[in-house]
Amino acid sequence: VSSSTSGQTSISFTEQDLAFFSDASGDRNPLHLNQEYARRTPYGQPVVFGCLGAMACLGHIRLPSGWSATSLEAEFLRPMFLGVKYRVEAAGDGGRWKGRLFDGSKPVVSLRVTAEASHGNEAPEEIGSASAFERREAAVRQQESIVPGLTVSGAYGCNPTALSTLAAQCGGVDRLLATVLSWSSYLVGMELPGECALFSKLLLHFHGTAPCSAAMTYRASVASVDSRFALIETDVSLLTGASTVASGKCWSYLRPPAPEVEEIDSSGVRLDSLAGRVAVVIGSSRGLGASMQRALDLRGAAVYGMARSRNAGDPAQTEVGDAADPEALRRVRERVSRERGRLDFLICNACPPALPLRLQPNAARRIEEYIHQAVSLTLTPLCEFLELLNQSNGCAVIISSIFVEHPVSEFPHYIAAKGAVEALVRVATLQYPRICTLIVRPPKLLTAMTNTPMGRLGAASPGLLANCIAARLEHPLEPGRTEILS
Amino acid sequence: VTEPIELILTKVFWDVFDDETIALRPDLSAKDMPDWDSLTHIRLLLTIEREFRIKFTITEVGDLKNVGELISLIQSKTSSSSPQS
Repeated sequence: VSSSTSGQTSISFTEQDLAFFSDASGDRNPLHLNQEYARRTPYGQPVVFGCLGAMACLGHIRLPSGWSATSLEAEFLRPMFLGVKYRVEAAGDGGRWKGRLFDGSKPVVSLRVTAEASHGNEAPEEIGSASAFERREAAVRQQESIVPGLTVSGAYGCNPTALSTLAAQCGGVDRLLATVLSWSSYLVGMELPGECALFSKLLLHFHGTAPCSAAMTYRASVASVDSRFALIETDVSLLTGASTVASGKCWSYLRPPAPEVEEIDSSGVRLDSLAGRVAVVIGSSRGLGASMQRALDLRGAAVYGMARSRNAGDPAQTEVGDAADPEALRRVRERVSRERGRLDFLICNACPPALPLRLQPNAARRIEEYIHQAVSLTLTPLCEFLELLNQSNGCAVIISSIFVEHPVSEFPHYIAAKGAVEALVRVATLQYPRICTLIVRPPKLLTAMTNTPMGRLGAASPGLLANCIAARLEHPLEPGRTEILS
Repeated sequence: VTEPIELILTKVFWDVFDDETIALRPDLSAKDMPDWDSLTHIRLLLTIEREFRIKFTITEVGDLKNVGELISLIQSKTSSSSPQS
């Protein structure tokens, strides 16, 4: 028997798809389901389950009737997001099939399946009526605790109704393959490594003797840990009774913990150098904004922060709100006017996380939306505070990027947004001639946005930069002028 | 006979990037290849380590600028290990 399939089409994922896959698989990892949690990761938004992408890809691979899969290899090459159109390519014959999902020209999921004629001796499938998920919340494990030999085991059964519907929605996915993708997603996202997992690769062999059932058990044992990249290799197996349904390996990255806000080095700092001055820091909950708040506070300035969420330890003057929300900004301005009667420094630091994008047809809307959102986070505070800043001969500080001077190929949206806000503050000094503006073009900083195994390499300290900016603000800038701090 | 490093490395690039049109040159870097992002970089390094039976340190990995430097690093690692025949 031989079969061949080929074709091209596109798919996209919705929030409902994520909820449905979560119901079917039991994977409730917050990176996929919790907006607020995902916002604080380098991805800035919920990530589509890699195994859901693989399942959608499998829907375009048709195993001939009477054939059974003997192996499955899935590589999750790049994160996938809601609402993006992914192109599917699938082809194969003679027992080997290959499928891939692309974001423009970039592959995001790669899949290989081997199968053979089962001669009617495959084990009958037992479809249960209830799911069996031992974990309702993802395990939280530190990298130090994940060592070779660490073994976990438990019971597992997909939600049969949800899985059947999902498999049908994906175009008729083989039940065994849908089951093992669901299980592996649960295993990696909920158990080992758990909450901080980034699924990288799955390689499974099927033994053909045991059926999928409602009451399976699994075992996973850490084979190796590459501490340089926080990459974990795990030996895994799924069993019905004493018979193995599938066995193989999973590879996953452990996302590094969010960087802590650093203590500002106070050596050589004059603690009253900004006494009596008033500052507003937009985007103050983490990264450079949090460090700016501390660096200005250390010098005696009265600092008001604005952030989308409040952290433990934030000063009482932190307003929770969106930097693009004029109402929230008005509340801060009114409070500053009421309590201090002046504003000396406006620090515009808020910016959405930027993910690599190419100037390609399916990215045009994402680039446009990013620029709109990123510009709004600086433009709206500027419009709200410029008048007050002008009355106080104040300074608007714009956190731009060194990429404006030295563009890199994968971030057209980020660089365009930073270029636009630089242009806006230059014009601001013409309209409000008593203010001055400071454009800061930092290199890559170690923040939640860059906190990936490779992104961390060579990233500069936000605390050091904040101290430099605050030190520059100790000395007057010329009204009506724009200075660049590179 | 041991294959030249450049030849083995080219095959690694073809495999990792799934593109057999890639021709390596010393100044080739991530800037020239859209698919060469951070996760692909890790896959590339791990495949090179497996292929040449060497290990990079995280500092060496962070310092790499282009294919020329990568080849030099592999050369230094392979020549310091036991000679092959």
